Amino acid sequence: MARFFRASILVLLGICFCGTAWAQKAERPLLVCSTTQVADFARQLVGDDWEVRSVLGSGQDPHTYEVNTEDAALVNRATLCAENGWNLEGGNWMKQIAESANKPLVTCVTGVKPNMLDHHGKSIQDPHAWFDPANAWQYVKNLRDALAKIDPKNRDAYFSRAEAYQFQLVALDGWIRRQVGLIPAERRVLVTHHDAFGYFCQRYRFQAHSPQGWTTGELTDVSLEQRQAVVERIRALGVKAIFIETTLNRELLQQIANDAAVQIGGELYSDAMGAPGTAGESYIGMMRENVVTIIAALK
Amino acid sequence: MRPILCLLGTMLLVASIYAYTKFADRVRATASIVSLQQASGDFSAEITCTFDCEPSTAFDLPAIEVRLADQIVVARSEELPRLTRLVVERLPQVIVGRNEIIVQAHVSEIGDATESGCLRIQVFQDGAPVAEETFWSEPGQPLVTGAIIFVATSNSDVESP
Repeated sequence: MARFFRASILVLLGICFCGTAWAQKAERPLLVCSTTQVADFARQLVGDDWEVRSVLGSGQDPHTYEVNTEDAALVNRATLCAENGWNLEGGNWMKQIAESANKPLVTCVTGVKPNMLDHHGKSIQDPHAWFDPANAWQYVKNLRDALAKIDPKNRDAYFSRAEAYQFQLVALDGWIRRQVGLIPAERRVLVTHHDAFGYFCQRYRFQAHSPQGWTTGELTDVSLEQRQAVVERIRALGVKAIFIETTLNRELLQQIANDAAVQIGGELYSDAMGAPGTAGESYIGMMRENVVTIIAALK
Repeated sequence: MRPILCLLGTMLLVASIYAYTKFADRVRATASIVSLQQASGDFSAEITCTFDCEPSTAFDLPAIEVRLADQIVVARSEELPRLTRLVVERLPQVIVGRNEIIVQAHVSEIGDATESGCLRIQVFQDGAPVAEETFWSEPGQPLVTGAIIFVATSNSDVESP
């Protein structure tokens, strides 16, 4: 009987070994993205054909992120890398690790018409372009073209999936327009921690105000004057609510809310999407959740 | 003896599962060849929108697009003012049997677009109307789409389903 069990175990181990060998044979190419948004766009295009990994997780700030050896090892295994660009990844960290690993890199903002910002007297491109669904479509096109170039035999699949996602983005844009139409024009003021929502505000005709500049990498630089200027602006415009961001400390905004005697309208997803299982786990979910929060507070 | 029997039994089991997954569909599927016959007669379509159609440069969409049998028949990149009839003459590839025309129109992006858009599609054979449908969009949706199905019979009589 003992021999029978031993033989059975050997056979089972053999089956497991064969299964592992098959699985290794079917190993998928790896696409490493810098941010959760870029990773979500990539997943819409590749389906199950590629493994998609994001260097940043939910709630992590790309401006201040410091790469580690695990990230470098991940990029070393990559077939293709993708970044947002325009220095969203503080110090262009994604570009640096992709270049040092000699991996092809897609910069998703390529072809987007930039909003220019003043940064210490220097004009720079606002990197938060994904907040306009039309720019998100440009991200998707750049990823689609890079995938089709690197894997031409699946070109039609990438183009078909991109077209399907294009209609979801168009529908999202229409839905946001309809929702925003519920807020009177004079109440369309979005006060957030940092200048992440410029493209959103431009498309849906909001005024944007924030005590912080375009990057969160200089949090200590928020001066009393800057804070006071935002408080006065909130009072002057009769703003009903201001919003904190999921990736940032809420203290500064709480102080401003207290000073200006307005309420915190809720948390908005800004530089990163939500954790798996939350409403903000996908780009479309994140945008919808943000709009629902904004409408509920400002209507 | 027992280990060998065990090994053979396991191999038989794995081989049976493999064979089932590999060949079961092939055994079940019955293949038949249906030749598509071009329908005779002159087919045309008229499309009328209650909104201004405008191409979307942001999303790379034409103002209005008409597809038949998954082929793009018309992709108009110029604006089409509201209540202007777009006539598509001599629809190609109308076959005997069910045919589907899909129309997709992009609403002008001016304003917050809180109104519904309406799209009317009519299909004619030799000038006589054979099918007609009206489609409404959700308020604010920038795309209004509709699909109309008509059946062309072998003697080129056409009926709407």
